[in-house]
Amino acid sequence: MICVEGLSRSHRTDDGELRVLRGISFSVAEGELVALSGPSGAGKSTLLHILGGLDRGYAGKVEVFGRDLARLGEKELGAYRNREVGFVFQASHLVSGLSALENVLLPAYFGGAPPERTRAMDLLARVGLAERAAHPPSRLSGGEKQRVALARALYHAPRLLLADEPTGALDPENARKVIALLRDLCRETRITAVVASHEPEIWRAADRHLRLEEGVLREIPAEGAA
Amino acid sequence: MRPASLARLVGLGLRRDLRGLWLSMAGVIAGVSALLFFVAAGLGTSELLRTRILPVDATLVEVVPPSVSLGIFGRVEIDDARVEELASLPGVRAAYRKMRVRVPAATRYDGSFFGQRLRMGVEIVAEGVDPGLLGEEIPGFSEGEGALPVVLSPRLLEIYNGSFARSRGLPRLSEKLLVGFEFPVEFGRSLVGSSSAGRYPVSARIAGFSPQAMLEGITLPLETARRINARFGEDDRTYSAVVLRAEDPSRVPAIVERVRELGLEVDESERRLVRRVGAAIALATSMLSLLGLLVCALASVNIALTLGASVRSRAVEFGIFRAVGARDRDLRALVLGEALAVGLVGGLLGVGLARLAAVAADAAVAAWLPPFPFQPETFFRFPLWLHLVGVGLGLLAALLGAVAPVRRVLRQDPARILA
Ligand SMILES: Nc1ncnc2c1ncn2[C@@H]1O[C@H](COP(=O)(O)OP(=O)(O)O)[C@@H](O)[C@H]1O
Ligand SMILES: [Mg+2]
Repeated sequence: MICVEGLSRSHRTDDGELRVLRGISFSVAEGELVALSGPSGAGKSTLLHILGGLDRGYAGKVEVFGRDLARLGEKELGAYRNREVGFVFQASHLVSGLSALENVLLPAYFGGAPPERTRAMDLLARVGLAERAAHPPSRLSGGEKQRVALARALYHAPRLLLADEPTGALDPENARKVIALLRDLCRETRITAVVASHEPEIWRAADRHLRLEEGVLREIPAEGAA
Repeated sequence: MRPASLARLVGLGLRRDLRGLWLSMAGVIAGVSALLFFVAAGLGTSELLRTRILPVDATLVEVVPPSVSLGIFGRVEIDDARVEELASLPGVRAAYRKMRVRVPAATRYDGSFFGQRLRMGVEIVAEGVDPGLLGEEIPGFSEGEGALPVVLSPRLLEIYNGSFARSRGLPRLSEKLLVGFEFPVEFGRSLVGSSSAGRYPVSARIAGFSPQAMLEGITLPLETARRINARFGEDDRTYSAVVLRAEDPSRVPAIVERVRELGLEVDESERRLVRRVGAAIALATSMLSLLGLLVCALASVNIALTLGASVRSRAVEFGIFRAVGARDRDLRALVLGEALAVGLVGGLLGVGLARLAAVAADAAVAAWLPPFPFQPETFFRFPLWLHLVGVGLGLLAALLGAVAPVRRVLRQDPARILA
């Protein structure tokens, strides 16, 4: 369960204060898949980074699973990112030099427990890349990389999945595959997910659709329900 | 972070910039090897000085009469009563008397010398000593009938072999070969003229070698020197020196103080020379070592720059690490790990290079320089601690070089990088 109240975030730039988020409030129920849209530069990434514990320079209240993120210490925040959150970025951001399997295992490198290769293999199989486990990212297509990134995000079975334009760099064909996979995985795992995307297909797959514009968030009613 | 994970990611990071890696490592290797080479050379030469060129027995104190005498009682001299007094000083285990032969002496040699014809004449100094001073017993070294037993300094033989023999085309000799060798000595006669009291030609026989024997002359049994002095009507009662053997080196300063209170002097010329040459070696060593340290400092700066650039180019990667749960200390460990790996391997290779260079330098000396006295097999000494210092220095240079890159990584804002 996510509860955000009066969240503001601004950046100091050369031409003054840039107010990206202007006191937004919303909540997400456990297990909900929420689509987040908005023009480029609206602050979608900013919001996801705040939810994911990567950005702490905000004002307002951000509570995730009953914990106020502003009150977490450096250690707790690290554990939060490691175990409770899975991130998928637009550029897949795999680590070159590590195999697909090792990329899936990456969260384990920063956790306390030894890496579980069978778990990582299962996840790779689930995203349809079992035979590519030993391949480096350079030998994977854009869609495959995003699927590996998805498997990596799910490695520690987090409660919150944050995806920042996961199909933004893919051709329509691959984008559709990734969207379907994302939707199915969310249904299977009952994970809470916030997905920033321009894809109407994701908006349709989501339980809810939030739109961020000029620093303000508003709810878009579901097409079918209207 | 678990060690295996750390090792995996450090290895990955190091492979990201192999050129930078080698550059960083080359700096450490250069610094560590330069430092170790010079320190080992300093240790080696000062050991050579202390053990072979100017060996000084730390328990021995050579007492001599004062060079200038003041006061109304006249000269303080060393007679038997004085020797008794010195021998009973606290901390003194034994006292050995020395008496110079107080007439000139010369040796003329004209004959076969180990297979070669030798014709030469030299003035020599002779000194009698209590046989106990020479340490282990030297057979036949006592006043008696027949040829005069003499003991020589091994350093004299070293100098003979190293320069004299070579320049005159004479054979190199060993102590073993020389023991028993006889040569004529004439007392009361110098090469420029005879003493008024006549001449006393004798045959001298080399009884052995001892580091306590005088370097620039022959050492005789004390009673022989006394007899020769008496024969020429010279002073055969007072001693030219007494060597005190302390119970252990720590008692030497107190003994020296008591000796001075008695109005006598302590001959510290050799000790002082050792100290002075030793200080010169230490100075040269530290100057050159400073050079090595400077190179290490440069290596550290080099690591800071190379690793800093490498870390900057890997900002996205560190951002991903953050996103999947890396904490400050994880990233610090990664960067430090990369630096320390460079320092460790660089340090080890630096130690290896220093040892190789030492071997090469010794070989070059042996191959290209003519033999010289006291020539050692090696001019270097590499004690275990020096190896550890080398590796430690490599690690230290790396550690210092990592400070700025670590701060840079911790300042990186993952939110901005990953957006
Ligand atoms: N660290 C930063 N400093 C200054 N401006 C930033 C920083 N991060 C983001 N911004 C700006 O904030 C705005 C929102 O960015 P972002 O959240 O990435 O938007 P979106 O993901 O919706 O395209 C953009 O104008 C961006 O340039
Ligand atoms: Mg964005």
